[in-house]
Amino acid sequence: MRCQDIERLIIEYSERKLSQEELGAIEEHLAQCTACTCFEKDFKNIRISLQKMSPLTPPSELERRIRDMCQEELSSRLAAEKQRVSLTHPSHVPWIIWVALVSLIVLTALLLVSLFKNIGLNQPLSFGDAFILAVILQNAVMLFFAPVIIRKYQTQSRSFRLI
Amino acid sequence: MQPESSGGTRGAELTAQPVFDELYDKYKDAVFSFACYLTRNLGEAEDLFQDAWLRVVKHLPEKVEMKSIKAWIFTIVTNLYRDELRKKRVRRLFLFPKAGTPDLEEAKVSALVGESVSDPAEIANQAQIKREITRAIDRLPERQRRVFVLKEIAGFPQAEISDILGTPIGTVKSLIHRAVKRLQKELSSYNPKGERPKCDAKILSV
Repeated sequence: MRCQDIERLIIEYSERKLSQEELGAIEEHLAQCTACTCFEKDFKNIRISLQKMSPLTPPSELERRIRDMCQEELSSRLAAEKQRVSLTHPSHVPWIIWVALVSLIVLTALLLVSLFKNIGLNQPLSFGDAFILAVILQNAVMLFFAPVIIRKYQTQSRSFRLI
Repeated sequence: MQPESSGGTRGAELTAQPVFDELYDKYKDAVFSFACYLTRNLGEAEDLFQDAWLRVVKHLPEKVEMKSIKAWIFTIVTNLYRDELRKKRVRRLFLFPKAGTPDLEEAKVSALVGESVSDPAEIANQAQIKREITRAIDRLPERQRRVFVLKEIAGFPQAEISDILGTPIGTVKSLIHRAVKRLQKELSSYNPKGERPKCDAKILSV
């Protein structure tokens, strides 16, 4: 084996167990080669010196800045992930919304029945009838926009936990 | 390292932050040391350190294997440094190469002198020797320094260094060998005999 091979084996010896054959070759070579003996000693000394040194630490200001930036990145990543999930997997409409919608429809029907009854009797449009018409109109608008409101509520509200 | 595919956002919220904190606390010093030795400049090392952690957090999978994560982080640092070198190459043609800044050298030396040696003369002597080792590492050629620091400072085996750098294992071994030889030559003034012995066993058969 050449000196170069022995030196490479010496370096490898620092990270893995060598075979008996390899160890024998090193020993045999080192017994006769002062250069490789010196290499082995110097390599060991360099390693010892490097192992003794404590690692460099980042300045505290830099650390604080990095932690803040990473925290921000994680938060925005989480928000984006939540939005993606809510868009791809829309959540169920809360029961309270359904109850409100059904109540609205029933109320509208009752008011309409009452209004048509008055109109059928050929009575002039009273203040009460005008009020009923206004309520019906409002209910119709609300029912029309209900899906839009629900959708907006699902995508924007992060703390919605009524289900 | 598999990104979490299911489990929803709640899982991500619960795992990503603690995983990042654990990784940061565990590897920040090693990564910073590595950045310092790579760049040889405190300002650049800080920039590299910051960019590396931002990239880590950006690509951090929710579930990580702690065995391979260290190599992954160092791969990120190495790639960022390569990008930075590429950008600077043209500029450096017109500028003198920067030596290690005094503040960084002082930081390295103060890190070196951490042992319990009572004799002031001995402390000064050790500090001087270690200062020379640090300078010798800084003077290594780019590729040799990168490989040597990954092996001896970051503690990676040669096979993993090969993966991190995307370099064949044979090249890694060769670069480490050349780096150690060069360090040995540079530090020969601290050899008590003051001269390097010549090889007297030319080719030995096994």
